[in-house]
Amino acid sequence: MQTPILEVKNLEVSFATYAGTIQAIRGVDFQLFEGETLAIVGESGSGKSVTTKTLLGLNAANATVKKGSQILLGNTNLADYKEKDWDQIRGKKIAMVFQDPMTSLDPTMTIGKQIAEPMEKHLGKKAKEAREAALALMKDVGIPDAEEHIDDYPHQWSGGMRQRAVIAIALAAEPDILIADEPTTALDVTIQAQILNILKAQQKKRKMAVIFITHDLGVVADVADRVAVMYAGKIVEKGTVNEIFYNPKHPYTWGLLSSMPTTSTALGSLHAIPGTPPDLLYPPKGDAFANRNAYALKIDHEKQPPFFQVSPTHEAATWLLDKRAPKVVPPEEIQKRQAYWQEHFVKEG
Amino acid sequence: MARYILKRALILIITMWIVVTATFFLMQILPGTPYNNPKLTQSAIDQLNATYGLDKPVLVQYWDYLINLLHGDLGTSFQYQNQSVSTLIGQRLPISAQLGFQALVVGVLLGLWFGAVSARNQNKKLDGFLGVISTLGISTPSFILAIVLLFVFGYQLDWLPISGWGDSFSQTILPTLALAVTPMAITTRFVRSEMIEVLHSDYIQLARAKGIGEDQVIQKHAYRNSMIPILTLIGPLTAGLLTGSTLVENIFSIPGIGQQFVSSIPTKDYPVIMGTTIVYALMLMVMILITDILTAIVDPRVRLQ
Amino acid sequence: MEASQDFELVGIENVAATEKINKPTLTFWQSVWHRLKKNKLAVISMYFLIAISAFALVSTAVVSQNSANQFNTNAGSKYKNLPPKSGLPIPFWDGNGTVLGSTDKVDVYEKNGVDKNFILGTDNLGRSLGKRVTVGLRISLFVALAATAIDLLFGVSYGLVSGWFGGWIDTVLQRFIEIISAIPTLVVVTLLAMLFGSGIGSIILAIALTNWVGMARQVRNQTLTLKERDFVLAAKTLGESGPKIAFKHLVPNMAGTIIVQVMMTIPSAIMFEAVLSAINLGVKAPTASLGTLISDAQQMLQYYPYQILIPSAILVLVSLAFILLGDGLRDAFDPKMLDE
Repeated sequence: MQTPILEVKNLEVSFATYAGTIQAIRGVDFQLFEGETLAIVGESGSGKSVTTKTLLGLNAANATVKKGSQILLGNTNLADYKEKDWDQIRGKKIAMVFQDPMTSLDPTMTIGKQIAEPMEKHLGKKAKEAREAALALMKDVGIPDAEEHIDDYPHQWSGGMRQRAVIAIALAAEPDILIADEPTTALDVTIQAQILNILKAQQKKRKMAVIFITHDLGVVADVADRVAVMYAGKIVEKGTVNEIFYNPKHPYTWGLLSSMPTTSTALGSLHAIPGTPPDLLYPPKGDAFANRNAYALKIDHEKQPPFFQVSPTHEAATWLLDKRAPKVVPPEEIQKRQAYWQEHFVKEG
Repeated sequence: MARYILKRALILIITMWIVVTATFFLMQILPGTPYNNPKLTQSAIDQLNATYGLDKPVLVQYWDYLINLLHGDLGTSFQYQNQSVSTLIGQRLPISAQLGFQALVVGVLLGLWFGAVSARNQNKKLDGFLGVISTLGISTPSFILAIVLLFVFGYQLDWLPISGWGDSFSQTILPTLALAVTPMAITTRFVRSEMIEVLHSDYIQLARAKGIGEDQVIQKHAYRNSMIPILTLIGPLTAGLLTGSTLVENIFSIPGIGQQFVSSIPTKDYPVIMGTTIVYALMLMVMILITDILTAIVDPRVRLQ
Repeated sequence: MEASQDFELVGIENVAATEKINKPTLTFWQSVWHRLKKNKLAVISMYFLIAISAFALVSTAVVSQNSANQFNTNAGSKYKNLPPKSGLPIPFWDGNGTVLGSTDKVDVYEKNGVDKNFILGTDNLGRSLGKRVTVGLRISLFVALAATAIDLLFGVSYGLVSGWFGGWIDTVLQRFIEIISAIPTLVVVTLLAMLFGSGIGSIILAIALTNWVGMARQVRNQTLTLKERDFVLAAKTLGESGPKIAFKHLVPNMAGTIIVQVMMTIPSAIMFEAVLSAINLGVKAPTASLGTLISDAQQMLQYYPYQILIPSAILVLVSLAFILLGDGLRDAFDPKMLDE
């Protein structure tokens, strides 16, 4: 197996607030390999955005990364980084595409300058060179008539165009890893596909690894190689995109997939997951999903489940995979997916 | 741009006309006459009325006043016989303008500095200290501060001159300080909250994600964005300074228009009161116009029409 | 090690237990109070203002305006300009001061043969400053509160009308505000005070008529936002009348804004009262207000600084308390700045 370019081990992040300490990330492990796209999926508040902000040291001042957390980029552990160290990482090694293009660009600086800024800093380009490079990059991400618009200010552009500029800024210093934090959520449906295509094309061209944060499983199916499902500050299941979509093991993943509208499969009806995620001021002692889980075992309420290996690439944290657990019948939608899995993936080997 | 300035100038002229008209007719209905001396005989009063044109019908007086105003003539003072109001104000305006300008510059610059420092150290001790200073600053009217400064640095410590104007720069220090504290306090609070909002904005987070260093983030992105709204504050600050300067000039015996305005109230010197009102309003409106134009120049989002 | 019965399928259980640990739900005003309590300065200011107001109220029964105005013409020079004396050996509060023609510090009380202690000293007519300040504070607070009450009524109505009707009404009303704002407040107050003549009523009116602009602006902006909200649209669809919507739906929803604005208007009114007194347009002698006390003592600053510093300090303290409470309320009504 190849060595990962980024490895996160036992990441724990908490936030000090007036009300108490919120344990936003409660032990997250994952690996990222060269050139792949890892999607992190979860509802809002599951900790997916906090995880990626931690990778860039961008959390708010009241956040603490717990001692013993590891974020290994090559031989360095980013979890130990001080504020001044991060400048060698941000933009240059790891860059980020933000969610809302309407508010992510500095309203008082021309777009060309905003794109050129990381180039001057990290690639040592002079102002004129950087401007040329910014222009080329603008064309690359599909901004039409870039020459005429390089000195525009953000307010003169539409959301879709601004998100292209945000992508160009992220690509400017040629990062190895690109984090896309719900890059299409704030956009019109018609624009979403264009932005996804730009991201995919640039990833291929630059051989970047991409961490794609989203709550939209449709987008995941479109872009991801591997998927990690997050719930209440933990990863509950991770595997290849096919393993997660057609052979899911965690009841939360079942719930997510059942609540996803599909046109290709057109199976059954939509199901909402009952209840709300737990308050991470007081994390439950057992499986955080137990109180919304119709398949919860007694032990789920008492003890957090470990990861059970399903295949070399697939693991899930649920007591249902323990050999002592009773056999349960998953929801109808999942049964159909598993049947599809048996037919298309298992037979072929 | 030219069209915008022209349009704004036109609005300014119309507003000025309304101000002049309102003040003129207000003066007509104000109680009392300038000739309170009981020894004045009726014929003497008639003669004075003729001199000042007060015997004509009100509308004619109004028309004359407007025409004279266009020539820069604000009439003749009741108090200082044969002195034209324009001359009186003309002599004193540069003094008041210098004092006001010094106070505005000192106050706003200190406020920008304190506000930015406060925001960058949000909820730390320094922020708390500057918060106390600025809150005390807005709670203390400039004339009370003037009295305290006069007492401490003038009488008790004897460091600085306590009155007068024009002999030395040191005479301007205490009145400038007394006037500068309110704009300083208001600017500090304003800049702090603007900058905290900017520092939490998405575009600052994006700038940080570029890895250009915190200093660059602040200098190239945060300052510019949090300083632009300060321009809108200059108008109200100027208005406050005009109010404060009248009493501060009085306390430090500075021969400015504020002091003259105060002394013309008990003597019912209406031409001076009117003239001062008009000059004040004009100064304030020109100041607001200038800051609006400046905002349009530095803020790309503001479209001129 | 887990026993096998632990693996029994139980599904969703204990929902009640998990709901319990959620934060208790507070009403809007409860949560405002909850957040305000965390701001110690604001709470101290609030209690200080309550105490000051209670003092001002109770003092009406104890110290009358007349008793504070009276002075003994015969024994005037004996009681004149006595420094504050607490009766305790506290520096600057021991009755020691200089008398005219000498630079030595002596106990002025002993020298003049006064056997009473004046805690805050006396003025240049021999009147007790303690009484004068008590009455002055009362008058200043009354003027400020009355002016603010008028502001509240006028400013809120003006803002509601302007925002609710919009169109040409809004344009006209806003132009009027622009014109008013083009004249410095002091000039407007001065002209109005001259127009109305002297007396407490006219000062109140003059201050009120200059201070309402801020309130009107805030209320108009809030009205413009609120009138597009669903609950107002719903009320409109149900055929509720304009005034009913205004008082049932708009005003309660902008209560926070209005209260904060009031907290900022009161100190400004207190200051304007003092300014008017300083230019001889304030309350008429012998009535005392903080403003007249300050302006009367101005000539004496060099020799009897306590006469001016005491009322000045009280004025600043009261203004400070209103502003601190106003800041605290603003954060409590709009908590987004507090987190972190």
